Amino acid sequence: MALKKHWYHILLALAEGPAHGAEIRRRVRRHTQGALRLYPAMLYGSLEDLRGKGWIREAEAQADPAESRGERARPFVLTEEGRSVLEAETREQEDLIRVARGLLGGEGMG
Amino acid sequence: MSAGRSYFKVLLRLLPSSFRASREAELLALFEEMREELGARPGLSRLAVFYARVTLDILERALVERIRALRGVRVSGAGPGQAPLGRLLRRGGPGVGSWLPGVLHDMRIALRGLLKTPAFLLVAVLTMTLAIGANAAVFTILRAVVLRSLPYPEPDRIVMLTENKLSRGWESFRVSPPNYWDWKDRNRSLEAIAAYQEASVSFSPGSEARALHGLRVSEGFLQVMGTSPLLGRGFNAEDLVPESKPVVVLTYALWTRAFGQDPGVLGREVLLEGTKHTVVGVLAKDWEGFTRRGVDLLIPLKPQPYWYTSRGSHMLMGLGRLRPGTSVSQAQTDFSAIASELAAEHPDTNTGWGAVVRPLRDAVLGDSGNQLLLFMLSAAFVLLIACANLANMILSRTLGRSQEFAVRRALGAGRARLSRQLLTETLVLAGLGGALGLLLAHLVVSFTVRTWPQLLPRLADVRLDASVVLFTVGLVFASAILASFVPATNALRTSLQQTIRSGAPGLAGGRTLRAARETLVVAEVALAVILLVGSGLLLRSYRAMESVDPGFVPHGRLFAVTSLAPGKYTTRAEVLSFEEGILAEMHRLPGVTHAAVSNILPLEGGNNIWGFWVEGRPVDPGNSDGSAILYRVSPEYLQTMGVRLLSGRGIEDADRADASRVVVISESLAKEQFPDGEALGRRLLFDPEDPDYSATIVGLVSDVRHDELTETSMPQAYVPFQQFPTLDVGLVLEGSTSTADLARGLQQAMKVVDPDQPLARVVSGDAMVADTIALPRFRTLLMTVFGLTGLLLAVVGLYGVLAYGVSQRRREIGVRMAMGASRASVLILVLRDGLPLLALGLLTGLLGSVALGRALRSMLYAVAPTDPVVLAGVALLLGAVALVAMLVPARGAAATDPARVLGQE
Repeated sequence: MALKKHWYHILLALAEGPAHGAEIRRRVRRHTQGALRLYPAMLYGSLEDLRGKGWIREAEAQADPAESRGERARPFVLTEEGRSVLEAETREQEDLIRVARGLLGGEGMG
Repeated sequence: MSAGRSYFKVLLRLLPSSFRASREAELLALFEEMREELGARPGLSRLAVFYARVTLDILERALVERIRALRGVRVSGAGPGQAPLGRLLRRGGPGVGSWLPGVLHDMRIALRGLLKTPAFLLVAVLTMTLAIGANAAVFTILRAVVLRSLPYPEPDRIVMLTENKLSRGWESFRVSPPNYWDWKDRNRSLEAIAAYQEASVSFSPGSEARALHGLRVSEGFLQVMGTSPLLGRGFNAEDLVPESKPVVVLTYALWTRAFGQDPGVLGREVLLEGTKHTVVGVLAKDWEGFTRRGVDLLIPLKPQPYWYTSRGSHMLMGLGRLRPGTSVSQAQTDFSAIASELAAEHPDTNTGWGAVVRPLRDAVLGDSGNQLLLFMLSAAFVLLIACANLANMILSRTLGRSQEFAVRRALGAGRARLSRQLLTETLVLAGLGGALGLLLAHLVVSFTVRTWPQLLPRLADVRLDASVVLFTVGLVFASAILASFVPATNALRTSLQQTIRSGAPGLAGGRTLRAARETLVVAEVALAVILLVGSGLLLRSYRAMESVDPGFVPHGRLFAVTSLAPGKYTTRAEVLSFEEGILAEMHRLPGVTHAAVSNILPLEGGNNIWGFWVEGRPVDPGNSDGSAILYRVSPEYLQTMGVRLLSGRGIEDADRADASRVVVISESLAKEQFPDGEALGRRLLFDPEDPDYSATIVGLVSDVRHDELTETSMPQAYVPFQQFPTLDVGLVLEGSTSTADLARGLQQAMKVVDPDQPLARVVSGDAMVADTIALPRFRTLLMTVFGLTGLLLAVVGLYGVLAYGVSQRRREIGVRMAMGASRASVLILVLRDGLPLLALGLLTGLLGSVALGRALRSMLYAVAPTDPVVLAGVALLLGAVALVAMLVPARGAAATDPARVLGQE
């Protein structure tokens, strides 16, 4: 697996739409049925790493005065590059699963 | 769980500020969300796992970020997974040009070396975890309870004002309203003055009534506290007029709990004690009550009409804020002068009464400060023992490695470099112990606070904050230096050639080293003895407390208290009808054999002291013949409580409101007032001017302990509730069913009689007695833990020294046995090494205990600080355990096979 598991899941969470850190964590929890728990430093560290790679970016701040409570953070957005990484990874996993199903003799995916 | 939040905040500081600054708020929010997902009351193990993972999460990221920053790696570089921790550390060897990699390098080497001897690593880290954990835990509590100032502006200027009457032994007594008003008018030392009363009030914003703890406060209370409300206002003069509309000020915590911080709460009405009260203010977030039960709300202290004429009724607590620059003793002088003026003006009521000005802090803390200092000292002893032990263990290890050190020195490593290596190793051990100790302290403290929240004042404010972490880090460094000092100065002094040539490390540096190790062991044993004597004394004292006869039978009884709402119960008939109603309902409950009411209950506190005059003696209105705690009880009370009737009769059904007034007195009252005469039939006057307040003595009962289990109380008198009704109602049930069933039944009975009336406290008799000695039990438990830890560590130390000695003298023992020495003589040979150490340690420790025992005196009950049973017991216990520890290596030595040992040459 080329992409680290929690990176994949963070990207996947952002494929659902822009989100703050807390919302990303909730989505990941939902996607994995609670199996993957992202602890705070791990989550924000990974977000920094992914941003450094250019796979995600921070959205423009909303000019909503009601929201302007000081350091209100901006949500993260999946970049084009991030989306293509996610798609490539997903395809790779699909291939892997197809092979695995064949080997295990279960009902294949097609 | 704000302790958790503070802990997390401290953890966050480990992250580089660049990372933290932009994300702190979000990281915190995330932490809190995850904490909430655990549920309101997660189990201890789930909590531990959660905190361990959160801690590891931050530690890992912090290391990655720090190393990146150190190496100038940009964020866009490799992710953490692609550069494993080990590789990063390895790259950070010396030569990078910063001191940090050098230290990291040392630490890596140290850790690698330590991992080669996992048993040593485990024992050493465990030792330090216990010792540092104990210190961190005690310090956490000490800081919150004693060291932290009260959470008010300029708290040193706040004083508590009370009265005293030293001729009666009352050192601090409530103030009577007229005296308080005179203090208010005449004092020159206070900037603001206020009076308050603690009150349990029923509060019903929803459907069911709950009991809350409130303060009835006079005007000026918030000025004394130096705070202003967050919303709305405090009380003004109008609120305090008896006929004014009832108002209430909420604390921040209650506002949050009951109203979800609704800013529109002002003007809302809440039902308090059956009366609608308008919310006029909310207190600031940082304001906390100073009373042990905490404060949920403030209501106005409205003077009752009879207050103006009752200078002899002491019912208020006074508070004041000193003028700037005025000292407590100046204020005391001022108030004493006023008290003597008042005594001259009102001799009937004020003769002998003085005024007491005390800093609020002292009044709140009481004796807690001393106790916590004792715990801190004990914890420090445990740490010293642990350090001595660690030093000994390192010494043994270093000796085993003296060849390694000698070779390294021969290869050019300076002594300083080797010392640093030694110190680093010790630091790694202490550091690991410190980190685990902090976790241990966190668990122990949060468990303690959750289990016994009212054990010590201000315990609710306990949190593991930056200063605790700092303290622990300090301990880690201090113990590392302490523990590596002896090894560093001794082991490294060994002569190079000697060590390499001899090949027998034990012979190198022999005598001084042995002396150093032996001194350490003696010190360990002595400190352990002191700790054990301390815990032995507390244990014996606790046993004595447990066996005190409280004068009534607590077992199988259920107690509850409630305070009738004055707005609802205004007439005597209403109060009596409640009392009759609840008595009837209680008797109807299944399994109930006896049920009674009384305005106050023993051991539950509640001051109701009445002065009385004996009929037939000349009446001196300023000086009563005696004072008694007055219980106003229903007929079955004495039987229900199991108070023994000594002569005459108890209170009976016939003692109704219209019957002639009767009183039952306690044995000590009879002895005090009628030492050689018959008490029955005499009359007591509770108010010489009001014949309604006099009663005939009809019975004599045994004494009960009213205030403290361990102190004889003021004498007691019992009068019929019917004849002397009050709004305070204590309920007692005795039944054949469990107290839990009785409690459920009682709640039902209360609902039938008055659903708005909450029960403030429902407790079984056994729990009530246990509560009064909760603090002694806690400190006994704590000291026993310290004592046993000290014993364990000291014995391990003794064992280590002897075992090491045996291993070094294997050859000598082999030769002796080859020459025909018997096993017994070898056994004695080894024991002869250990016994003098043990004896010296014991003796020093016992002498130290006698010297330090005085510090314990105030906490001991019915035991002298030099109790021979305890001293002998400790000597025996320690001697026995130490003997076992010495026999193990001695038997090993005696089992030496001379052929094998000598054959190794």
